[in-house]
Amino acid sequence: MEYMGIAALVVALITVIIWFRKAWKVDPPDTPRVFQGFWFLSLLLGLTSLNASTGSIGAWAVDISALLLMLTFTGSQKVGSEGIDVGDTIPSFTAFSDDKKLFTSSDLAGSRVLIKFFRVHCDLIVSPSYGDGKS
Amino acid sequence: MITVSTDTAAEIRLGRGMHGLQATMLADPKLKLINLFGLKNKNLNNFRLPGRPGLPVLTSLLVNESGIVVWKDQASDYDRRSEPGIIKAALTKCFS
Repeated sequence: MEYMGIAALVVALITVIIWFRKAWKVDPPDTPRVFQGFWFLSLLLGLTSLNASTGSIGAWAVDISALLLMLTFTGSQKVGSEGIDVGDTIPSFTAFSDDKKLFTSSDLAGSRVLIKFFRVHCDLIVSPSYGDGKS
Repeated sequence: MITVSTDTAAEIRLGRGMHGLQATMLADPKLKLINLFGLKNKNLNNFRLPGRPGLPVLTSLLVNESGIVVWKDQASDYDRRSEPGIIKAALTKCFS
């Protein structure tokens, strides 16, 4: 039954690679359902393999698939009622930019500005089709 | 264009160099700005990276000359981003 574990790992790895390539290009699919289907398949194959043999390949497939399923099923975000909304005035703030210069909200006075909040540095790959911050 | 992220200044510099970005990029690893704007993710999946007290909900804001938010786009899911076409349309609608 080791072949089943190998198949599970191959399915998991191929879909994970495709998923992260899309994420790297900030081009995630409209819905993760197809990927989740493959990860579920990989999970089942891996569990079947684990149940029938002592090899560790199936365990790797189970671990990878379970992690990705968990991440994609729990991806929703939530802000509190205090979240800024249309019509609100932005709060006064100061912060340091990456070149260690102090930036204050008063620097924005009289300017129209797009402010983007994001997570970690993988999000720095901004689509060039709206300027990618170069302008 | 201003970006606010939980990256440190050093991490931002790395990404800026890799991708040639020229926006004003603010480092907010302690989420001071993100909390000020009320944009911290409060869902259970608010993974806490080492040294980071949380993560923001991915949000784009258009702010006018008076400092008032005239448009907001907020991702429902962590792997969603504001589509360039949506931002372009909002720019045209709000500022033309």
